[in-house]
Amino acid sequence: MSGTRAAVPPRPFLLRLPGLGLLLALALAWRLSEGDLAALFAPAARASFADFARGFWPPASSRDFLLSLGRPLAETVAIAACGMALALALGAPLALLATSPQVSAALGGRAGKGRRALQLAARGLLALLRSIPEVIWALLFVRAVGIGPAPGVLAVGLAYAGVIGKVFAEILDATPRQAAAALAEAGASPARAFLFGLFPPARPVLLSYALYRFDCALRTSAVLGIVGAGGLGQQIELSLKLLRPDEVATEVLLLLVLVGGVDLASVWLRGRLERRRSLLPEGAAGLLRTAAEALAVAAAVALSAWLLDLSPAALAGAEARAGALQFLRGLWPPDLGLAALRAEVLPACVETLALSVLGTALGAAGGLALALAAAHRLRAAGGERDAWPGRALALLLAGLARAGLAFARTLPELLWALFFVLAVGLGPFAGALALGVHTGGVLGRLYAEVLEEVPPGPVRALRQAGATPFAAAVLGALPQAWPQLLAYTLYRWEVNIRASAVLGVVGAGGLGRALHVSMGLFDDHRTATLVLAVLALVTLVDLASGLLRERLGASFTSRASTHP
Amino acid sequence: MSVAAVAAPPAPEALAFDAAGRSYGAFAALAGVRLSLSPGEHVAVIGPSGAGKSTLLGLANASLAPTAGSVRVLGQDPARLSAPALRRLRARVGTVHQRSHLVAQASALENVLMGRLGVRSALATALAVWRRRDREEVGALLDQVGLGAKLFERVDRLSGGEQQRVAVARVLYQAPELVVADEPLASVDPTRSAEVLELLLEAARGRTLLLSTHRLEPVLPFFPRVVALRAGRVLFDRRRGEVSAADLERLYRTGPEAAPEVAAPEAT
Repeated sequence: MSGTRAAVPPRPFLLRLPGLGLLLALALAWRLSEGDLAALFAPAARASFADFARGFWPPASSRDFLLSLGRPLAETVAIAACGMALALALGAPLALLATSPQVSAALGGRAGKGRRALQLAARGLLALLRSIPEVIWALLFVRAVGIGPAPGVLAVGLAYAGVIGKVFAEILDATPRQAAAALAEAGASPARAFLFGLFPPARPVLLSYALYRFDCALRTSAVLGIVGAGGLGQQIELSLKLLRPDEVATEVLLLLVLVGGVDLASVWLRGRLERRRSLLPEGAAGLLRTAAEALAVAAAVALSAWLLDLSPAALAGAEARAGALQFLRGLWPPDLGLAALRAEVLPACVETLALSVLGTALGAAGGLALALAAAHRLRAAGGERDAWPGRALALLLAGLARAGLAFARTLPELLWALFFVLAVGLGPFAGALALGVHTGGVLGRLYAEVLEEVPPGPVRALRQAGATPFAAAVLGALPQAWPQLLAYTLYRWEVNIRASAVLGVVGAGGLGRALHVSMGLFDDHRTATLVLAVLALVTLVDLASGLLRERLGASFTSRASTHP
Repeated sequence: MSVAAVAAPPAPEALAFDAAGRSYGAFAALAGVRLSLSPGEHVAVIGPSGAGKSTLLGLANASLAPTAGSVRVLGQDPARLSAPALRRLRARVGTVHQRSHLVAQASALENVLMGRLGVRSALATALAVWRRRDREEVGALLDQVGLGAKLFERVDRLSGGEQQRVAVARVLYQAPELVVADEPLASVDPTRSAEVLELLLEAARGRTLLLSTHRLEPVLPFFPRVVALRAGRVLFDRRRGEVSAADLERLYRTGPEAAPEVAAPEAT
């Protein structure tokens, strides 16, 4: 940059146009979601926080209580397993259709108008499936096929098929395709070139993503109970409503253990794939082992289906079909009366949007604070000569921050919302707080990872120049990590708009409340309108976030290139 | 089942380019190429980078279609074939790439077996991994390229030269009539390149071979005929003995017309 232009220093970010816009949006979001610091710090709220916090320890451990959790826990796992099986069965083929034309060209397929149309149709279907939040799918299926685990399985299956299909297609697009192209050159058909040339390099990534999704499915299925879809969620809701924090503690711990178990399994499986010397098992022993594993997975899914009483007859029998058909017919036409739109749908949309913005902002702020504490590698950079008590304290702090983040993200938004509704009362503010806490847990972990991956040179230099660890982290690492942190935050906003649309189910504001009411009144036309509103809102936020990310990416790369 | 059983009526030429050209948008990577190779002939293609060597080879192994003129591969015009017929034709052409295009996660055995995916189903290929006869056949081929001990080794744990040997073994297993090799020595340690070249020539014995290279000394002595490309056109096509130092000087000279306006997209 030239010296003359540097004479006028740029204004700080918050005083420039994007910063001012952000501040305005946050202020609006605060107002529209009825943000109220007084409610948060009112004696009643403080008392209920304190009671709850104190009640958490020790977790309930009576024999009867633990035994009573066996069935819901098994149901939660079973819903997640069956839901994932359905999601994979639907999502994987759609992913194949949704891959970019370059992939099918590399596989030796001939690009035609038909292929392109199929690709667009697959992408559209995937977008539709994932734009409707799981809980809304569950609400719809509860209405269509009745209360029980079946709607939970269908909800997880459809919503996750949308995500899995999109991400699998992205993974396949990003996989190197020379090996597959070489097979096609030697005359292999597209299917053979895919199986032997493209699938093997993509396999570890696909597997690790599927396992991550299973992890999410466990959490989701634990929540779906709240809307009548079985599992652990129903128990947690009950314990919260009965004000029994010790039971909640046990239930959450169990959920943590489950999710942690899946994490460990994922690490182990990926390691095993990495160590393998060949695609196919080598000897008879390896072959047997692989067959046994495949059989075990199939058996687990079958057992889950049996546990949940999912039979083809129950799902697609005459009675179920009639109920579903009647419900579907009721959805059409949607209620598009202008008065209703203006009086109810539009305000609910605005509230949902405000809720999602405020929740994301709260989560980003809290997450960043905890991430700075949790990013221990960052703290350690240049701190080799610190005295040991300081180092031990930092280590302890990092451990605590990580535990806090894990706890915040293990409980889904809806469960946090149940809690905050009790603490600060019904309304969107409770929803924003719930969203903020869960988002803080998720973003905090991602932020910490980014901060630890940042090249430590600047931080070390600042420390050696005498900066405190905190100042060194803020000034040395944050500017480098900024674009990535913003991108993650925007991605999370896309997730949160979906979450905000359902928080109303437990009384925490937004479109969910209206949806809950219209479902309760069997007003199917209204329900259809509201689902369409959710779709529109989600699509709008996805577009806005994508646009912002693109702009940010562009501005950051251009700045990076002007500052060598 | 022999690959020759599905061969088309005997053709006089293994490869025939008739005023063939290939453009990428406005950029002509290759233009007006006339070239014919008789069965069993070994021909080297030389020229500076961006001259169109990879595009020429892509036309020769039927992975690219010409945008002008015509190309006949083993007597057939790939542009006029149905998808299955094109695949049958491609099964008769073996390709060795500049950098290894093997499946990194698969063993040497599996990679070699994939050479016949053009004529063998996915299931039969998978089953071949456990069939003793197929294993022994592949083992013998890997022995031939000096990798007998690495049958069950994952190829991404092999060196660049060893990977090229696996690629040669795969071509041997495919048993094609035409072998196309695109800079096969580029990613091989120079001290090992003579051995890899020898193996490749051995594999191509009795078959037509079209090989591109930017390294002349170690390669040219083994090729009776040399085709030189410059800026997408054939500069000369001679017996090796007739290629003079002046020819090479003309080929590699950096002149005004040597620098193409657009970077050539290499067809790899």
